[in-house]
Formats: sequence, C-alpha cells, structure tokens
Amino acid sequence: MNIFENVKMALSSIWANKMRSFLTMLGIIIGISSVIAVVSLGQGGQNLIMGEFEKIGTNTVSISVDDNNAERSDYITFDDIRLLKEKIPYIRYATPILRVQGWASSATKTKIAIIISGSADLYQIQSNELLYGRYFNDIEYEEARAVAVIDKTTAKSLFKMEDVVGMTLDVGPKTAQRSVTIIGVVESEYDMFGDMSDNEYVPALLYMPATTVSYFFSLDETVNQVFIMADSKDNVESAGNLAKNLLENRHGNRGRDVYKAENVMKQLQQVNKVLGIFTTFVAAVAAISLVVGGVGVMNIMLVSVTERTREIGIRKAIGARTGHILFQFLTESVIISCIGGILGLIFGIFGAYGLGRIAGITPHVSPGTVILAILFSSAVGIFFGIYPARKAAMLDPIVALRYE
Amino acid sequence: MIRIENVTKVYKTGAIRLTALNDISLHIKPGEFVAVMGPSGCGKSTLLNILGCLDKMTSGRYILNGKDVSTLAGNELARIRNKEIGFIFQSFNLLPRMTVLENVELPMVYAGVPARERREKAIEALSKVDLAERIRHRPSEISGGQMQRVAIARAIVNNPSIILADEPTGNLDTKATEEIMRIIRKLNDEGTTILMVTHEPDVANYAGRIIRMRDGRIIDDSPVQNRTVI
Repeated sequence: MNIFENVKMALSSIWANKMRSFLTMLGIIIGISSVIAVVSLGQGGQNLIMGEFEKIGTNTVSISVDDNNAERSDYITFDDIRLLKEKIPYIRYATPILRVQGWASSATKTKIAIIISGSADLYQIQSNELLYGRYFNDIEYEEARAVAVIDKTTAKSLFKMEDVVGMTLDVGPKTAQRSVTIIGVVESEYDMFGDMSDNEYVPALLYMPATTVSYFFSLDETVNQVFIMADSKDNVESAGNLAKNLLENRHGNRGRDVYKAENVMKQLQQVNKVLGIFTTFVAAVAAISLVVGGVGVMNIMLVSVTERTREIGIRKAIGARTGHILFQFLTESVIISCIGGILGLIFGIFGAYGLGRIAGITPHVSPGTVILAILFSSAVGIFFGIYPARKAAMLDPIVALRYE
Repeated sequence: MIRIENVTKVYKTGAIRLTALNDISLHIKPGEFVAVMGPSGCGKSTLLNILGCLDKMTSGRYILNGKDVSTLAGNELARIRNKEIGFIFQSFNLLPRMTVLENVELPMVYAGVPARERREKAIEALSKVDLAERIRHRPSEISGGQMQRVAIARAIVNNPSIILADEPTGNLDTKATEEIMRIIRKLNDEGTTILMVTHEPDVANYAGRIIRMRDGRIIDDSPVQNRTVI
C-alpha cells in the first residue's frame, strides 16, 4: 500500500462524486483566492509606495515648521538654508520647499499650474529623469531668474510637443503672469496612469527657483519646509539634529519645539507598517472563509464515511489495517483541499491582476505566497480530514459490514 | 488448525443481555469441509465472525494454526484476515466502483504485493473460478453467480489456509448454487479448510461434516452420510 495507490483510490472516489467534490472545493477556492488576491495587492501597494519614497531618497530629512506653534519669525528663510549647507558638514544638499498654485499660459492655452520650487538642489532630492535641456543652477536661483523646468505631460498639454526647451510660458497669479523661459523637461510623475496631456483638469506642473516664485507671487522669502540630504545613511540622524539646532539658534526659539525633523526612511517604514497591518487584517478576514471551507471539507468527509461504512467493513474484512483506512480518507480530504488550493491560487492571481488594473497597483505574487497557499490548503485538508478519517478507521469491522 | 475452547459471546444492548454463543468448544482439522446449520438466531453467524477474527468473544480461547489469537490487537487481526482467512459472504460484498480485477487485487494491495505481481495473481485466481473474461466489468454488470465467483477469487488470492463462507448460496438460483458449490468443493479437494454456514440441507451435503447449533450451543456434530458427489 503506497501513496500512489492511495492517491489513485482517492481520485477515483472524488471523481465518482464530481459535483459534490467541486462544491466542497469551492469553499477552499474562495478562501485561498481571496487571501492570495489581498496579499499580492498589499505587497504590490507597498512596492508602489516604497518606489515613491525611494525617488525622494532615503538619506533625505524633512524639516518642517509646526504651523500651530509657530510665530512669524520662526519660518525658515532662504538665508537659513544657505547657512545649513555651509555650516553643517554632513549636509550635502539643502533646499527650501515652496509649493504654490498659479496659472501657466502658452501662446494657445492657459492652465492651472502647480509650481514646486526650491534651490538648485531640488533636482537632487525630488529627481525625475531629465528628458530635455537642463535643471536650473545656483546662479539662476540666487539671481531669481525667470526660468522653469516643466514635466512632459505639461509640455504636451500646452505646446503639443515634448521638447519645448527655449520656449516661453507666462506664469504667475492669474492677473499678473510674467514670462519665463523653459530650460528643461522632466519625466512626468504620474506617467503610470497613462497619457493625461489631453485632460483639462490635470494641472500644469512646473519646477522653478524658489526665489523667482517668491518674487512672482510677492511672498516674503520664507518657507515652512526644508529638505536636506545627508552625505551618507549613517549621518542622516545627526544632519537632522544639527540642522534643527542651527535653526533654533538663529531664530532664538529653543525649547518651543517649533521644528520637526523627520527622516523620509522612517516615514516610509511607518507607512509600510500601517499597510502591512492592514494587509494582514484583511487577509485574516479572508482566511476565515478558508476555515469555513475547511469545515465544508470535514462535513462532506463525514457524509462520505457514513455512506461508505459498508465499504470500510469490506475492506477491513479482507485485511485493511486501521492505518490503511485512515490514510485512504485523509488522502481524499487533502487532495480535495489541494486541488481547491491550486484553483484558488490561479483565481487569486487573476483576481489580483484584475483588481490591480483598476486600482493602478501592480500586484506582487511572491513564490513564498504561492508555496504558503498550497501548504496551507494541505494543512486545512489534514486538519479537517483527520477527524472523519479517524472515525472511519476506528469502525468495528463487524458493525461496518452489517451497516445498510 | 482451528481450536476453540469454552467460547462465550454475550451481546449487551442496554439492560438486555443476549447470549449468542454459550460455552462452545470445537476442533477443526486441516483440510476439513464443515457445514454449520441451525435456525436463525442460533449463533452460527456469530461463530463464523469470531472464527474470522471480525468479532471479539466475551470469554474463551481461540487457537488458529497453533497461535492464540484471542488476545491479539486490531492490526494483528487485520493481518490474519488478510493472509490466513478468506471470506465469502451471502451478499458478495464486492466494491461497486471497482472492476472485477481490482476487487480481486484488493487483498494483495493491503498485503503490499507489487502491482505487476498483483495483476498476474488476480488473473490466476479468476481463471480458477472460470472467470478469465469480463474482468474489466464492474460488479453491477455481471450476474449474481459471477459476482460470487469474483468474491471467491478475492478470498483465495492470498492463498489462505481457511475459507469462511456465510450462506454463500443464499442469494443464488439452483444452477448458480451448484456452480459455486462445485468451486468450493474443488478448493477443499485441493487442501483448503472450509467452514460454511448454511440452512439449506442440499448445500450442507457438499461438506464432509455437519455441525448443528441451537440457542448458542452445538447440539450435533457428525459426518455427512450421503455426501454429494461431484
């Protein structure tokens, strides 16, 4: 009596009750496929967020002013930022972050514009791939020159072409737009959603020197956020603390805790943790359906044992041992669960890609998930099959033989 | 070969105690063909089940082939049923989903015989009962007499020393009964010990010795006077 014999016997009995076996499997199929779909979408989502953060860079620290707690004099000036870079050796790049909403007009078209501005170091920190031209440099920042880098989608939307280096745009508040020269075009941030250059509601995206933007929008040359980038991973923490100290000294607000230094990597870890917990939670809910599926397997195996009591009696009369009967029924429940598990895996992967397409997430199906799904469905088969199989194996041969 | 001493079997259902076998002793020598007769409820089937290691006695001793089997556990009894005893039942007890060949192979599956050898031996056993064809059919596709022949092939395939038959012709017509009894008699002539329960005198006359039972006791044990000649 070997495994092959057992499997053959189990398959023939599963095949003899096709409809019933399929309905039993359905519970496992639904359970496994929902767990697989949730887990692969969760992992896909984590990868997506990870990618976004890594674009900013893991050595980056954001220093922000706590708006609820800050006085006018606490806001960070452009001079502060120059000093940060000069005085603190760990800081390789430093840029103010100033986000403004305005208008951008080409000769033919006017659009709402989101202007992200900083020093020339902005490119190092929020780096999208440069497609044409160049980024603005330190001189253009210091002298507040009227230059701008735009993204590909904006170029196509306003000019109907991609390489628009050297052309001019009118930028500013709606009533006071000034002419700027486009010196570079970068890859679009949200390219994965497809070409949106025809969409009227997608704003134009511009990257400009913060000095220029302050002048255009009549702002006071202060910001509430600075990004600094340390020269190595080990110095990230010190760079943040030193920067905070320097700012507190310059603004004389030590002890009020106005500035918050946050490592982007730490934020990433936090977001990942939250997403991980969420994924685990949803997967756990889905796993409940797997348990329900397992109970279904147990139920049908119990019916099967009762139906086949006489068969068990005959088998015992001609020499089947307790182990033979136990393994015969256990093999059957494991095979039902395993087939269910494999079908569930297939449906789950399809489902994950289907849902992922709608949600804009590329699901991540790891080999670990696949192996775990199959092992888990086998475990369900064993766990919920052992009781019926034991019941069958323990039957008294003479009672079983007399059973009608 | 078979020796039982002071065997008693009591069934307890709630408060009711039913004595199926009352202090029975019996000795069957190798190569004997014994028929057990008696009215229903006399304990003849219980005796057969105990001799076949299917049922446990309440008290007494059972020596089979020189070995005390009254104290053996479930799996050891299964081994004895598999190797040393062949069963033939009134209702054939073939597995309906399996073919004739697979049914005959089954005892060898439990004995751990390799597949190729199993097939050869099963076909050999089937030809002994004149059923070399129709071996790919299912039990539902053949006649009652043929089904009982399959059951006999299954019983002899592991070369047991004893065959226990419980009313083997009870569900068969006269012609099939004769066929089956000829086969059983032939097996006996070849040396297999046979113990058969029946209530038909014609069938019992194929045996060499008849034991009559009543109320759980043996009331008569004598050789057959006018044994059927085949």
